[in-house]
Amino acid sequence: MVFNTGSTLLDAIVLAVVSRTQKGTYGYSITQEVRSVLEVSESTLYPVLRRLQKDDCLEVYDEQHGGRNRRYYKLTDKGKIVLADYKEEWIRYSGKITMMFEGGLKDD
Amino acid sequence: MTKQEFLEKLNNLLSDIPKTERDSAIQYYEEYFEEAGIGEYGTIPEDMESPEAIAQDIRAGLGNEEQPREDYFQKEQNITKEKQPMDSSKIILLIILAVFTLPIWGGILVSIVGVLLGIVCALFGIAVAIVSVMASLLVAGIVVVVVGAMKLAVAPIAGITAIGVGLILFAIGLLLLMLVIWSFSVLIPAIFRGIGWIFQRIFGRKEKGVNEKVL
Repeated sequence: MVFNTGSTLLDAIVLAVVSRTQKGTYGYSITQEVRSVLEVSESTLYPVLRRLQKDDCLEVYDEQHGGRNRRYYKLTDKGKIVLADYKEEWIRYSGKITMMFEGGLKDD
Repeated sequence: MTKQEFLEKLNNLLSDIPKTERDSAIQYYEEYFEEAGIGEYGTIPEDMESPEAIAQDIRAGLGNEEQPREDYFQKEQNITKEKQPMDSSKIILLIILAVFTLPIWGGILVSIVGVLLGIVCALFGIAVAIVSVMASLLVAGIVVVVVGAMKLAVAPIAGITAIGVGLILFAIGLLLLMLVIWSFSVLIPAIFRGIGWIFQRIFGRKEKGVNEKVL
């Protein structure tokens, strides 16, 4: 991708990915999903997940899966509010950019 | 890099953060590699960041001790440099250089040692002379006083003169004795300290110079 991704946008995308499953989802799966829309390295997400967890946007729980442990990440209530804010902000922001791109000639 | 190497390195790099934080990070990456189907000795994915970069991100995420990445890398480099102050090729090069320049510095070194040896011998000669003079003065003084005392009855003036001269000789001898004692207690240690200082300047300085170049 030619555009830089700021850490806020990455936070928003991670929250969105996690919010898409009721049960929550685990690190590897989150990474693959984020990587389907953004060019991030496979190691990038741990610090992001840990920070979101510290900020009370995500909560974790462990579950056995196929004989090994999986740490699941789930949105907290605060996380849901933060994600809603991000979504709203994104619609405003991307709308403005789209207007700029597709708005046609300014002088009439 | 294999999975094991990666985890070990990350663990070491995070050795100064709280244990729970470190364990949490290690557990995450362990789980991640397992999900990705990478075994104990399997290689980690190509686009994984270096353990150094990851450790720095984790550290920054902890919030309380944020430090710029550059500084951190510099610290790392300094540590490795301290571990290996000189690589073997540099040592070999220095030895070859020393052998080839032997005619130059060898001559200088021999001259310096010769001059120092000469000075030491001269000082030793002077010391022997002073001690001998002192001893003879003391002995002569006593003898002259005794002789003067014996002649006192026969030739009183000559006797008194002899006693006086003898006492003067004895006094000069005592002065020299004090000089000798002072030399042994103060002057000689000072000379040795001085020689030590000269050697330290010549050789100590050189070593320092080499270290500075390496660092």
